[in-house]
Amino acid sequence: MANIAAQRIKREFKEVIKSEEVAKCAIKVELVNDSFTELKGEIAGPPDTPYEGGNFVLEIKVPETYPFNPPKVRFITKIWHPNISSVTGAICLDILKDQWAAAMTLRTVLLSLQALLSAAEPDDPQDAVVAKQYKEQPEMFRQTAKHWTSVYAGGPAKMSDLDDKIRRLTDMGIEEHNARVALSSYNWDLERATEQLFMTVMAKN
Amino acid sequence: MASFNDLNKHCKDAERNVANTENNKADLESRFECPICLTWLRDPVLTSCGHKFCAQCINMWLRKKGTCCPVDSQPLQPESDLFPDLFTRREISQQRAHCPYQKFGCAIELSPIDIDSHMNKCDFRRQVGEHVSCPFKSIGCSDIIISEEELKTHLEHSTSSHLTEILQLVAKVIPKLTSLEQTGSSTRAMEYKWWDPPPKKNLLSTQDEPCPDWQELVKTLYERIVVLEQQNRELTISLSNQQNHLSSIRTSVRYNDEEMILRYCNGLYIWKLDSFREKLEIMITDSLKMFYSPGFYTSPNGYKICARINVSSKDPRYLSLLIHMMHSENDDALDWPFNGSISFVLVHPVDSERNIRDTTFSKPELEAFKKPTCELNKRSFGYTEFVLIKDLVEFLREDSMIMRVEVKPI
Repeated sequence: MANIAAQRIKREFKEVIKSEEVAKCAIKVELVNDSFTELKGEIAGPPDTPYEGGNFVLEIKVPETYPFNPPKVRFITKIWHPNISSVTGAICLDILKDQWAAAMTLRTVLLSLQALLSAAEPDDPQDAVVAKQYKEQPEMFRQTAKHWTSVYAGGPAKMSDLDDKIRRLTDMGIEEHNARVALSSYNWDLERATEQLFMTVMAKN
Repeated sequence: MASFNDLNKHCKDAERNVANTENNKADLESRFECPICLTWLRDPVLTSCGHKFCAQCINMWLRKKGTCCPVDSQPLQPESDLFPDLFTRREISQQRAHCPYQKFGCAIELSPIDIDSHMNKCDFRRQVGEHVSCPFKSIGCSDIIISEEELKTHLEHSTSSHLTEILQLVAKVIPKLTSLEQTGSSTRAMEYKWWDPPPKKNLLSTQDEPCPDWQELVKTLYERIVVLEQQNRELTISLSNQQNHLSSIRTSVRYNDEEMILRYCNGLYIWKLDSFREKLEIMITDSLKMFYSPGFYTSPNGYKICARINVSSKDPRYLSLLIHMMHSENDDALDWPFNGSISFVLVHPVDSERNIRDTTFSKPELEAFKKPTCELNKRSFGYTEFVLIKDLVEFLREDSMIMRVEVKPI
């Protein structure tokens, strides 16, 4: 079994490298170890989405039972998306779970993830907070996702008003990422985010 | 006979082929490829939805993952929807591929399906790097040796040919060596010339020079020495003056630096208490004894504040950590009472996760935040029971304790 998994990954690896998406820099795969059990993927944020201009790194773990079971994929790059956990990078996508088919490949998985960035499914969320914002305050969601893309994925947008709010919290001694998460979760309401953060700090003490 | 570079390349190719069962003659076309294992279809079966798989692959899939086609998700029953595809099987068996060890001499051509089993028992089978090179390779022996034993026999049998090769090489080298020697000796002759004493003509002329000139020379030199000694003395004196000046500048700079840190720390003061155990001992024996930090500023022209520690008067098991507003030259230009956030952090020397921290906001109604009427506002603000004294041990490193006090006006 392990043999067929490694053999298939080798072939798929070649397929991705030769594919036209790689030529267009839309997707990328790198080996992490020699045994083909772990790979590093990269997808470009699709155009006309808040993720445009960002590069998102993925961890791909190939189980011994591949291709009869799907590869385990999660985002290494932090991302603000209803179907991706903003904490762990875990992905909620049917083809990585029960809808996996043995004829799918690394290339189709990466392209599906790219498609997921263009078309979120807020009714089947991985991150409930993000999904709620996506449904109730779409413009706020767009801004937040764009901001995260610029901070973590090298996206082009600079949003000084959001940065200012984060600085207000970091000035109070809050770690920057925690400040960003709190503000993003509370629709950039500085007061509520502060309240929530300081309650957590007190609880820790 | 193949050259060594070629051989290396072929070995690598072979290895690649071993892994892929690919071959230049019969490239894997997509119609012969199983979508599950991505290699040549082995016992191909056709599904009712029109897709081909290896029998083993599709059965494994249906057993593990239920009941649909991996390509288009059409429902599939293993009993009724799979048909052996003998046509494709025949087509694949008619394809011809070279054995990947062809480069080592295997002339066999087989169908791609049979290559794998052949490769395991192929007489020419070997891994990359298994070949050994003849030690006489560098002088021109181009034989390719496969194993250690072969090398032994090769060395025994080819002694005469190796000797001939050596002879040819030596014959080529000798003329070069002699020419080298010749050029070497001529340069050496040149060098000797350089080191020869000056020709006699010069010697004669020095002898002709009269001695009084020498005395003149000594006199001039002596005068020059005196002048130089004088200059040297002057320079030493000026240098030592400069050094004194520099060290006085250094001291004042250090003093200014300390002042600067306090003034430009933006309200974030790191208070390092050295020989803390001694200080603690003093505070425990005399509960009125307190230690104050130097006054620091929230901004260059902002509020001046100092921190204070002492043993809590309410509960002597605790250490208090508080701040005092201090009088500064800018007080008249500032807003009172002071309004802002204050955070106290007891810094753990190793693990910042274990820092003890508390952040609070000023309370304008308290006396402590009003404008100081003397050098130090007598009222303080902070935590009288900040940390248990017995817990302090783990925060000490080399008997110093570090507190971070951060005061931010709003």
